[in-house]
Amino acid sequence: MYHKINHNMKRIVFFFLVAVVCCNTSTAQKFYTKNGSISFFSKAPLEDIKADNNQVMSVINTQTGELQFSLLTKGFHFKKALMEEHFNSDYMESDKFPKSTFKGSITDIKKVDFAKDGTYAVTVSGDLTIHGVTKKTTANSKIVIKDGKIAGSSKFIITLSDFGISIPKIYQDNISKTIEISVACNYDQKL
Amino acid sequence: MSHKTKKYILITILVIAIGGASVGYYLYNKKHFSVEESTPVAEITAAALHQTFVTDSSAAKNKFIGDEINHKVIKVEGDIADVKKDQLGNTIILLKTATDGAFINCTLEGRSENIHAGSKIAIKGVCTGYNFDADMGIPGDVILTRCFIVP
Repeated sequence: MYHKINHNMKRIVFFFLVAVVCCNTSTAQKFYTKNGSISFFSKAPLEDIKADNNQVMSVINTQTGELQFSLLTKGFHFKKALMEEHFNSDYMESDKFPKSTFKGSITDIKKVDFAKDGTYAVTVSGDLTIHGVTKKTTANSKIVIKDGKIAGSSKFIITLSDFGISIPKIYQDNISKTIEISVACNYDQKL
Repeated sequence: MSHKTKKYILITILVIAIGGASVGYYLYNKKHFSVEESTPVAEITAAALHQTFVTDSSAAKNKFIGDEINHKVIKVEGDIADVKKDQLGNTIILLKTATDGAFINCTLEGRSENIHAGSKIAIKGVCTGYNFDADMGIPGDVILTRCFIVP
């Protein structure tokens, strides 16, 4: 009888261990922030325009490389009130399209050793949705691990017409057709 | 046309031009409206504010979010879950709601005095919306910007 109990015990322990291992591998390592920063910069003959949004929500899955961003268009703050008004009512039509999102992944996530401090150059690719239009976008990005903390950043250029945003002829010297977007997020929260 | 008439026409054109330029200059350099001096269109608890956005986002948008012509400022009261800084060094105050992990996310424009997690606080600011995305698997926050602590 002892022999049978022993065998069953071994089975129980085995299945328990398998379950524990399975749980650990399926518990995705997700980190996020709700106050990430995205800013954009337009350089044109008559003026330079810059705006910041510091309530960007972003989630990173350190195992799969899955990366998502979501922000409220009305959250972009300009120095000049009139510019902010035009941005929301004329160009981005923020009441119609309240959010801009990115859903994609860090395609070379395996390059990053999240347990080791350092700077890792990676490629981010996915669907960028602005003004209700979705376009596949790829950007060179950086992941910095410092004291075990994850920070991601990127700089890339978008063409406004790709997203159905048209600039009236009179403002062509005030607003550039291509805009530089800068992203900086500290993934300080763990799911 | 007499010399005098020409002179008057020229002066009129000049006045209109200067007037137009002044208006243009004023509009271009117009500062953002003052949140500190604005009367809130609503006074609500953090939990109730979050709940309104979750259950009826259209009603919440109509009530709490203004536009370029009609600016709206709201006053929110709640318990501080956390105080932190964003990338630009702005102070962020997170107010607790009835849902774990969901907060009223307030970025301060005004001074941040001795504030710490756990205490009650009243904040006046501009509501930009509810940043929630079902795909992301995290509870969304109601976002307030240009915030001032109400003494």
